[in-house]
Amino acid sequence: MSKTYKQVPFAAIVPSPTVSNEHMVTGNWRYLRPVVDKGQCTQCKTCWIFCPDACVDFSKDEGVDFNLKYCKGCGVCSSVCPVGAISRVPELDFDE
Amino acid sequence: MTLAVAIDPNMLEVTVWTRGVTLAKEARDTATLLAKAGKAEGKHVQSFDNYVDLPDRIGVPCKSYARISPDPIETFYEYENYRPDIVVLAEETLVKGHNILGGAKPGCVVVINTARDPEKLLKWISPKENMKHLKAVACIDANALGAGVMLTFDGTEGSGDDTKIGAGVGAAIAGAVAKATGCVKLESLVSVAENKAAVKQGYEKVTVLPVCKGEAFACGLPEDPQEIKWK
Repeated sequence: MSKTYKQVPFAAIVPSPTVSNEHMVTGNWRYLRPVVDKGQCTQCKTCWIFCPDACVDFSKDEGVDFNLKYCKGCGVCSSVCPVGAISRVPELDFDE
Repeated sequence: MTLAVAIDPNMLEVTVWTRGVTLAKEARDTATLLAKAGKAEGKHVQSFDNYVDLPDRIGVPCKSYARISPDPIETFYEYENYRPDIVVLAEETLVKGHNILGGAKPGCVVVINTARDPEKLLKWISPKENMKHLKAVACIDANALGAGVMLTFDGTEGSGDDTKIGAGVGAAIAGAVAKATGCVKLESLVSVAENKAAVKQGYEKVTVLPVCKGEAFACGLPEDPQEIKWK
């Protein structure tokens, strides 16, 4: 009962997803795939914040990566990228 | 008492795959045009959308159906085409990651709206065990022949849309289907479509790749593209 407001988690912060829903795979909705140019990427994580499906994976070694099983290709990441490092490439240009 | 599922032996089943919101109307147009053209030829037809898909989400894969039969259609209580004869993809990426040949009948024809070569799209068509049923892959660059009708986001879900049936991309795709499969005649299709030029251009510009045992040209090249005739 007696928690100070600083002990209560901030409302918008939820745990990072650890399980995926196998019954709602949305990767095949995508027709433009996000591709990050690692040379241009400043690792500001803006795309990681904005991705509505939590499909941006970030690691200090690899940098930004996308979970293509669930990425719908909405293009928010490429719109918000401040340096324009994320481009959208037609899905059929990739074999896999 | 058991209910027997009706089997219409002469019924052609057309499944049109599309993307929600951006191309949903065009796919419905393609299915509706094929059904209406069949009706103009005196055949029995049905045309409807998939009830399970939720096409109000942008980019979601969804389906529209048409059924054309010379005999009265007794299939009323199947709300999907489980055994398609013709599979139409209103957007090229749908070939990847969807079981578009699921339940396909022998002699199935796939028509794809793309600017790419049919040979390059063949490797993505799935499921692979149904590739032996595939007779031809046809490609039509319909996006160059007409514009898609994009539904608005005002909540009316297209009810205020006054574009007629077959005004854009869907008309060109329907023309390509008519050429590649011969399921309906060009004249009847032109008579029911709004954009008659797009139907004719789609009919003329379609590229048909004959497929045999899952491979292109495995059975040799027919002398005449028109040789790929329907039943």
